[in-house]
Amino acid sequence: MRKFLTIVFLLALAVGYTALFSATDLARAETYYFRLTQETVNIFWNSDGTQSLDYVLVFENSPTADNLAYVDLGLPNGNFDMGTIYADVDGKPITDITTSGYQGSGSGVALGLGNYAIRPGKVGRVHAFVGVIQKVLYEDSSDNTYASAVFAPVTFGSQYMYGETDLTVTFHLPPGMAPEEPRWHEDKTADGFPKQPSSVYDAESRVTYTWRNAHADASKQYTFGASFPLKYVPESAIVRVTFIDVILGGILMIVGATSELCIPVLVIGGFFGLVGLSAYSDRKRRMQYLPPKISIEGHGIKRGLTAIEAAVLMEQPPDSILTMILFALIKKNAAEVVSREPLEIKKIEPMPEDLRYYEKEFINAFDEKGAARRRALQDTMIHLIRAVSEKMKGFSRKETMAYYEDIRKRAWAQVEAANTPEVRSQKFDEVMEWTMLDRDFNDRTRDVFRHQPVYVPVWWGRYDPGYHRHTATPSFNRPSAPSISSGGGLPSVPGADFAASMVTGVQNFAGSVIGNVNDFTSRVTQSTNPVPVSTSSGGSGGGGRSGGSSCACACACAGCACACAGGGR
Amino acid sequence: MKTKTLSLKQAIKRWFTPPEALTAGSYHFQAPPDAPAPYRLHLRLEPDRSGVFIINAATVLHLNPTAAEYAYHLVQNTPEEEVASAISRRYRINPTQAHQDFVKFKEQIQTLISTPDLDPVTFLDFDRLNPYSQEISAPYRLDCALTYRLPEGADAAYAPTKQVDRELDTREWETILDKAWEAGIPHVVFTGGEPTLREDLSELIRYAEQKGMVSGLLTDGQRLADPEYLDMLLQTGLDHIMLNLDVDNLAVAAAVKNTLAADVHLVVHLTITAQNAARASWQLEKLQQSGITALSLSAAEASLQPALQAMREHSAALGMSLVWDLPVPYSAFNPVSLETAAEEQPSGAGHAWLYVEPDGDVLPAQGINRVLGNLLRDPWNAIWQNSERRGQRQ
Repeated sequence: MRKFLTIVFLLALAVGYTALFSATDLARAETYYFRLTQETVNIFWNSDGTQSLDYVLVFENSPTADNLAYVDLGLPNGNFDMGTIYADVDGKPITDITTSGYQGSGSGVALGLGNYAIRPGKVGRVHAFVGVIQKVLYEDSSDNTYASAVFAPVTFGSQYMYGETDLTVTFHLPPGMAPEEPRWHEDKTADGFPKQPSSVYDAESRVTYTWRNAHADASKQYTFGASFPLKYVPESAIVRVTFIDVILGGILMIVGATSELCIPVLVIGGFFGLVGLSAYSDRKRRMQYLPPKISIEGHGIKRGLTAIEAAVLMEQPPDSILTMILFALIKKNAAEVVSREPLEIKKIEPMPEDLRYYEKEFINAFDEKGAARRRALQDTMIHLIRAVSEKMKGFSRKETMAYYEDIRKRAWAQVEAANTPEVRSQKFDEVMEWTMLDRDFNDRTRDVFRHQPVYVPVWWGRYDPGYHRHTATPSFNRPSAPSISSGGGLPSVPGADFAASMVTGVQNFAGSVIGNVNDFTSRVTQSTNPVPVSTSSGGSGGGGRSGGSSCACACACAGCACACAGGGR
Repeated sequence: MKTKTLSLKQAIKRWFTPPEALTAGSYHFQAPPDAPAPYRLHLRLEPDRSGVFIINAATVLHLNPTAAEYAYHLVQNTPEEEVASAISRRYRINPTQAHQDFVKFKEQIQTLISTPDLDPVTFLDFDRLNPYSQEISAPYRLDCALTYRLPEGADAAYAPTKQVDRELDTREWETILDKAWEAGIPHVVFTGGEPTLREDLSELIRYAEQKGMVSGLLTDGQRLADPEYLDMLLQTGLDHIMLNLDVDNLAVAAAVKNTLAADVHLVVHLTITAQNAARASWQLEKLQQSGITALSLSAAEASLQPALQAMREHSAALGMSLVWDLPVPYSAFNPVSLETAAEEQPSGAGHAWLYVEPDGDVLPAQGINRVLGNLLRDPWNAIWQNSERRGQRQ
């Protein structure tokens, strides 16, 4: 039977767990019967790869039982340092701590309570601390870069006890670990415990995992586990279970179990067993394969982009981006639309000083006519895309896009949340450039404004040549303007007309300025994303999106102009 | 017969012996001269089998053990079939899958090399880590101030102020380079004072290059106006030059012209000061017109941040790439560090790079006058343990 237990133990090790066998026994001559009201154990997984244990066991001895004079404390293995063990009963130290007196399963020590034995009907608090236990960590069976730390608290024979136990198990992981690095194990045997332990830092800033069940059964074996990166403990602290351990265990089992069988059966069985084992061992000895994982150092969100630059990053169509530039110029009082069809604008002198390079290039493009203008606008787009690409170097495109997407959503939310036409019109004026990041800008503008009048911004006359700017009424184009409680006296247009005018502005660009959007985009992308040069080693590739292209972004699609930006240094 | 017996024993032993980890250490690959573009790869295999993979001394990748093994074979130029076989012998994976994964890994790295603008998170399925946030076994770069001497008439305002007892001689600097390489540092930048005042500069660059390090030079550029001197430096294999620019100095204009014509990566650094802020944009356009494509910027004081940001915007509009984190004057005030300051990201000083003074004393970075040890006299491990960030962690 003992040999069988050895096999079980070895097999338990082979699956990569710190199999802690700690059945604690109180089976001595006396009649034991008690309730374990509290069992609290703190397990310290130390940076040198050792383990320290701190137990608190609160016994309520039955009035009908004998004195509770000994407690057998099971330990994970025999590699503990006796010199580091301390115990007390109700705060009074005890010295009768021996391995020879231990009568439980596996390894452990017997705590002789001596004069502090818990009398019938009384409650006693037994505290034990074990400073050093070695060889308690194993390689995680699912990730060979992680160490597996598994622990099962002491149990007591059900014939000796009654009632429920408030059982708390706390893992203190090695120092220096970030909270996201360790992982807890889900163990189906831990019924009644939360699936996810609570996690906090302890006083030494170590990450802790705590499992608690106020109604636990202390006669039942519960197992708790966690894994953490191997780098936090010495390599030498990890117990590597070779297959030879399992083989030896198997031989012991066979010898123990077949002593009455004849030799031929052993020989034949041994032959086939060896063949099978050799194949199994060859597979088992190899390391677990995890798909290659690459992480790159880089910054996250690139803040400070203008709405127009964000539109480039978010691969908006070029006609939308150019329309955004037009609105920016109009709002800055740098340009005025003199004709919508065909679209013609004129500069307003003196030009503001805060114009951005793309705004200057844009307005200068309108000094040209026809194809020359189209080429100048293409150059503007090319410069804009390259500048955004430069700005994004070292930053995450993905996170930055999410950031500006959120700004877009919040811009629309502000507009839609406005209760009155005045406030809605003012909000729209304030955040209009961000709402234009929306690919559904046209439809959404129609939906938001169709049913109410819109109090037009002060720049509206520069955008709509048909609008009579006969009134000089101050409007709400500046965020610092006082809020307007009434629309009385402010110029307004029907919402449907306003929306139609905005939408037409975008469509006009496509129709009358840049011509065919696909052709326009094609020349831009030919410059910003030249034809890929094959860099592949000649393999067929592993699929996905990484196949040796010069630029894998979606700028090959018609109607978008991708910045191809971001990443690296 | 004896051989067969040994083979049998070895075979049996192999059944029961787990594969050993690849030898921890540094591995280096340089693209052959006929490659479409020059590039350098440095792999540092860590004892826990993970890897740090550095492309062109700039892009830092962290690899899990499997990726680290593929990187090892990439650097060793192992044929694909051999890689598949080796991986399948060591891991529970069939050779076909291992081959596919290796080819994919190679393509990911090649794409990153050939398309540095590509966002590797979006398009190559990489994860992103904050810069300098990982535990590493050695810095990525060592800045070596060979001397604190300056040319006659130079403005000492931007020079390091610490007085040193002496300058190390050539052999002593070689010892320091040896130690750095053995520790796994793949990149060295020679700086000063003015490093071109050291007559052994080319000898030291050559020594570093022969070891496999990427080497860079930070200079005021005056001596590079001499084409023969520049050619002598380039013959050593020098990888990059950063000119700390005074655009009013005609000699530097000649240096820019010479260096642009040479086969070396050139970055120009401008320090924005209260005195030059007004004409900095004009200087920038002049640089762009001269053919400069890579730029480093810093501000002499925090109050100049708006001017610095405007310069950064302007440089992007001119299509100039920004470089940062090099040991330039006022390097802490660069556009990226100022922009990300609110995010409280860890600093690379004392972690991703260290600074060696002319007498061998090691500082976390230029301008942080906390001596961690002397790289000539003290063991590397002691210095690394003393580095500020590690000290804080422990």
